[in-house]
Amino acid sequence: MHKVNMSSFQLYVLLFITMNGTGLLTAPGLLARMAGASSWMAPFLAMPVGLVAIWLAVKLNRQFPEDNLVGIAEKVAGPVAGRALSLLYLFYMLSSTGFVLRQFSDFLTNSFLMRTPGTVVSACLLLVGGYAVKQGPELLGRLGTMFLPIFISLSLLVCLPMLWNAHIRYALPLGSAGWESVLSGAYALQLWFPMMTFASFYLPYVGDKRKALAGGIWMVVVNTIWFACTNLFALVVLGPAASGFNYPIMTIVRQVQLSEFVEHIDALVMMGWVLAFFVRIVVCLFGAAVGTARWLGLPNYRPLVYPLAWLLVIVSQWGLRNTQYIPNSTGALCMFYLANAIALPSVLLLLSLLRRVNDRSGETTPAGPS
Amino acid sequence: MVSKITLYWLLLIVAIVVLWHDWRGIKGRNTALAYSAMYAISLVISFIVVYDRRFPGPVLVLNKLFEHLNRLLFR
Repeated sequence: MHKVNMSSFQLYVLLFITMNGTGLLTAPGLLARMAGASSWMAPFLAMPVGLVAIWLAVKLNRQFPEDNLVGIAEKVAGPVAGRALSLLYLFYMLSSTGFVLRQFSDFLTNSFLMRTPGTVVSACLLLVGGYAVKQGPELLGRLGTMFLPIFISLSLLVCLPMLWNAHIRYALPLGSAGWESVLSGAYALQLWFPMMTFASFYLPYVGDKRKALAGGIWMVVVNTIWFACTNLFALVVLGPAASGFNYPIMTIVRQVQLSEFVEHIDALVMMGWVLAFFVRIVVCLFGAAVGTARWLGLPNYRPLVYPLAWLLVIVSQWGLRNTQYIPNSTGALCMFYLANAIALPSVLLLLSLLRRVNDRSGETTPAGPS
Repeated sequence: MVSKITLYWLLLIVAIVVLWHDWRGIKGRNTALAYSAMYAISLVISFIVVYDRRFPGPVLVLNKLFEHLNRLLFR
């Protein structure tokens, strides 16, 4: 039995920062390009996927409280098929995090550390991240709750002074870009919502499991509102120009002045972003390390942390000329993420339910005459 | 611009330092085997990526798998 290391609140704080770290940076530009003035509505259409993802993770954990997705796949689908399926999921975790790592290093090297190679930035982040992951889920849970107030207060620091420059007419009329565009935007948000299934790797360490589902639903709702507010904010401040920026919020931050004598708060906001990216990468690195250790049948995940971190740095560079790849392949990536984070756990849940029904009918069948 | 030879040397030095740091904590034959295999794979791929960054990788596989759907939805 796993030692209880974190509460469900800590888990969902981690997942909240995980989603919003990259979401706050790139989602407003991506959605503005796709859905124009209606971009802020897209998160509400994307929300059901997040709810399904968290429901799947919690439901699977209730059936196998001591195991993560990799172990569950092996138990439900058998050693060969289960390992093949979980390998796909591990590949999804590593590739999605590799892309995020590349976004992070490109963002930093384009905006601030212009003479530092991106690989060095990524490697430094993973060196610290690997150390944090080796300390276990308890430390990760505490990191999340420690970073959350910083993340929220920095976000408010950006938003509040710029609200005077907002023009609500940029977001009107409702649905002006067409509902097809809003649906496309909601589909693009599947780069973020399916990662709720990462919870599967933490739930075995969570103490108050009864609150897990309700907490998860609340977190998805809060996340959706946060996404919608961020998009609306970028839209009402920048107007149609929001679609022309890769990082609209960063563009807004650069214009912020506090009382006409505090300027360049972008460096401060960057600190918040580094924390959020750090959490995003650490959350996934822990999941990948625990999952790989389970896949290989090892008693401890810790020795695998740095080889996986190394692999992440490679994935972030391998075949990617720049992060422009990501907007160009949103459709392909979303489909891949949905297949791994929604379809795969759904199949596992279905198989486990069928097995349970089979086992029950086997138990209740009366013995034949001897 | 740093030359590839320098990058290879740098990679080797980092690999040796990380290996030296990690190896002391590894217990059990299976763990050592898994660690070595993963480490070797990572090192070989990083040498290849340093040689040619555009070497076909996971991105290409994903694009090939889902490009038709991508075209249908987003073009």
